[in-house]
Amino acid sequence: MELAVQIGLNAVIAGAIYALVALGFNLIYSTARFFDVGYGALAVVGGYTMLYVYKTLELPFALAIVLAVTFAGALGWVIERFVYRPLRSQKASPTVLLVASIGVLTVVQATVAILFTSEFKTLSRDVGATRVFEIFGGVITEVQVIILFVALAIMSTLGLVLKYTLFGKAIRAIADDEEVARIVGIPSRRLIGIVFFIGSAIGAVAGIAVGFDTGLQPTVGLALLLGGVIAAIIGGVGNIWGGVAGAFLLAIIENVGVWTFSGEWKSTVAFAVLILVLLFKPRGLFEK
Amino acid sequence: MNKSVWVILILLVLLVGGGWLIFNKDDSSGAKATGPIEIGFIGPLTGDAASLGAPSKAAVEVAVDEVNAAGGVGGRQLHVTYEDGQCNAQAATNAASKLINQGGVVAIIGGLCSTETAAFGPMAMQANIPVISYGSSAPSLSQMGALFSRDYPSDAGQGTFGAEYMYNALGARKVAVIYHISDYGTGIKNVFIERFKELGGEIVAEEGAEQTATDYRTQLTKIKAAKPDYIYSPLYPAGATAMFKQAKEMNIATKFLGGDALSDTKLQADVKSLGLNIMFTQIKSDIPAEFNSKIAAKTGGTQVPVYSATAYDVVYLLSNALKTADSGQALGTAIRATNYDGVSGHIQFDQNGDVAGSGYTVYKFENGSATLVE
Amino acid sequence: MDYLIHIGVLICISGILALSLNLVVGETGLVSVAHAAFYGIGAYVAALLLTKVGLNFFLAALVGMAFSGFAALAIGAVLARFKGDFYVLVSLGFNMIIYSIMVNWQSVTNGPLGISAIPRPAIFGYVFGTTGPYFLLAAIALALTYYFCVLLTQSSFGRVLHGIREDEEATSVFGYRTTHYKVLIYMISAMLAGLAGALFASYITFIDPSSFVISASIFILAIVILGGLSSHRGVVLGAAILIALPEALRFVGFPSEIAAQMRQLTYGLILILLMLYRPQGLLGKFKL
Repeated sequence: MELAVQIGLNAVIAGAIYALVALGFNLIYSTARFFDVGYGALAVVGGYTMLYVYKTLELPFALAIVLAVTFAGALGWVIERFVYRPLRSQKASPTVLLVASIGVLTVVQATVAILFTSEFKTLSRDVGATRVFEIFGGVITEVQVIILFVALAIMSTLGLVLKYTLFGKAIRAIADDEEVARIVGIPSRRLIGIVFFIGSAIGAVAGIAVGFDTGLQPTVGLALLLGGVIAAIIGGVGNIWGGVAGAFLLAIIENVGVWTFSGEWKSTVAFAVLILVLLFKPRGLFEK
Repeated sequence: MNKSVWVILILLVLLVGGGWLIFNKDDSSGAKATGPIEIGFIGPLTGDAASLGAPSKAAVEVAVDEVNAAGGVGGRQLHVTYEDGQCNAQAATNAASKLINQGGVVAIIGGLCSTETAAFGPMAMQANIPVISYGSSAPSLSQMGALFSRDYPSDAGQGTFGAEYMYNALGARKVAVIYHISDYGTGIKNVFIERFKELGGEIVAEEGAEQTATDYRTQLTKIKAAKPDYIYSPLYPAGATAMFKQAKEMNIATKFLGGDALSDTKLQADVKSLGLNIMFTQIKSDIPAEFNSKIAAKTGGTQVPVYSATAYDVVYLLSNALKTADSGQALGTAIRATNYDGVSGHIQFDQNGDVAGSGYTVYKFENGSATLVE
Repeated sequence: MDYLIHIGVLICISGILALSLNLVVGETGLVSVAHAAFYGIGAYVAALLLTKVGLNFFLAALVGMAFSGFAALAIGAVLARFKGDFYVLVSLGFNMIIYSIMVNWQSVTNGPLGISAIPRPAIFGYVFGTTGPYFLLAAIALALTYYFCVLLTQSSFGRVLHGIREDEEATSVFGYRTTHYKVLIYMISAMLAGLAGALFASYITFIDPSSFVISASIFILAIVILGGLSSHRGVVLGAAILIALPEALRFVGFPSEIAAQMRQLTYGLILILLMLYRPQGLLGKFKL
């Protein structure tokens, strides 16, 4: 019983972080229509900016978060403006954009490693001071509870914004067909830029969450991204709620996998799930 | 278009060829008897393991300066060329190939990662160049050949010692193991488990994690449920930091015994406030504080891993051997005959080139640093 | 001189890898990021046969190629059901799974400790022991691969592949069973990669899983994209550039603390700039 509860809690924590990554990824994918691998690097940028402003400059927590998230968002916008937008206007195929985004991931990751070294860093100022809650014999820390609520808050806000605001409607129109959207007068270029800003900012929140919960390394971006992408795909790409459901499902399967087999097979389990889902439900488990 | 391709090709040829010409000059055999003695160094100067490789390089630089200031070897100065092995098989062979064929070295100090040494070792053996590693601990390297030695002990020793200490001194009977899947973690773990079962102990959980993993919760959940007396944890410092933090959060009160990677001072400071009971095993060495400050002054850092001491000693034992032999088999034999008291301890090699070793010691984490238990 | 020959051997091995991947990416238009897996299967099977069974190298290499081919048959059959971005992602997943098997199937592969003391090739009592003769062997293998690839692409089979690349549906309308072609070329490509793996294993005489990770697959893909898609000469040139460049940098002497990151950064920039300004690579004939 205790064991099952703890495994469940571990899955919820991992799932919340995957869900954040999947949210931003889905948002970007559904408007720009390509797999943005570079997005993983922006989560890392968020985490490391937080490290710099919060631990090195010792700014207050709230201000530090705002700065880190804004910086990562702005960087996401800049990359869109100078790499992806020119490619889109050349009518490049999604694969070209994907390869370019692999380049973006590599460049950003290397830059972070040059600036901050490859060492493992944690964001908490005092590692031992975390408060711990006990639920039915399982434990969850204060930080993890906060992460969970932040993830839920961002999900609901994004879901509501996309559904009910004019901005959301415009985004969905672009997602359906960018050409048509532009013809009816939607400023698609500017909106896609904003989408990249928001998506990257959400990614940055995920990076900061990981930094507080476990710790940061420049290479953590790819692992985060793969978790988020797999979650998004098994939930149905471009489907905001599906991605969230997929994230928790993936986390549960991964943790049960580690429990029944062994930790060595964690990433294998994740990819095996991805391939199976794609084979039998190519449009995701939670297709609209 | 074709023009720019040719420009790039020509530039490459010029760069490689030019470098080759410049660095190949001192290879003329006439100057050899009086010119400097060429030695190669291989270690991870870039990449994730660079935090270990850079201080080792610094220690070699310090030792070489000292030997040269004292008149060198038989009136000849030592000259070391440093190459990056990147902790990677292909890069290490590239480095060794350059050292052996362009640098004209008589011996290679290195590598640090077992992967490096296992990859470039055979090439050096074939070229009749003795190799002395200061950090590769994979047990299989003992079969490398007569020209190979290492003053850093094989993991076989540490795993065996850990198992015996666990069973006899700590009285543990049910032990859980959490390790990093790497040449280091897997290597030590295999030896430990074999010896511990031999002694009559029981392994109640065996959990691996990728070296870059930051989430150890599910592994720890399984370990917690298995209710072990002790947890054996041959992990690298980065992962260990995350693992210890999560263990604390999950209220795991079990004591830990780790390998020498836990000697990392940053890790010890980072997990200070967790209040966990952590011990680790390390080769017995009485590294003087002044040695550590000497190396720290050179690197400008604060951390001096144990590899610095072993790398420093390699320079001295190599220069002793060079007094009686110039190169090749004779030099290899002279190195094997070493009987030397260095900063890392007493050094003598067995028939496989493994350091006979002065045994192991156990340290305990206390107040952000480590204190000797026995 | 031996050093230059050593680099030459590595260029030959990477050249074979690039030529074989080009058959899939350049000639057929399928962006697969799993090539290091087949390279690794060839290397492991050959290494095991050489060390455990004592088989002759040339037989061991053939068996290694066969195993790579079988693996590619299974993987290629699954991959053939996907297109574009999903193809990339699923192939990445297969690379991860094969890598996990290499790391975790310890009783066979010896896990992360790797296989050492792999003998050099021998035929009729002659051993390709030193670098010079080995270079000849590798160069012959490269030349044969090159010639084979040229013949293949000029054959009617190759024309069908180009057809699939340009318009798969139209090709299938003409009665070609495109799935069969896609799986077959994937197998051929993987077998050639297996050959490169066998050469690598017996040349370095030591292998461990770290040589066959996802980033190795990205490196091979970068060679093909830089050299030029669908250009045999181009991809060999790409291999020469990307293998020789870091060696040239050894003589230039970046500050060693950041050299590895600078290398990564350079690769990333090359990918981005190529996608922006020359998506077909230096000598390429086909744009992704």
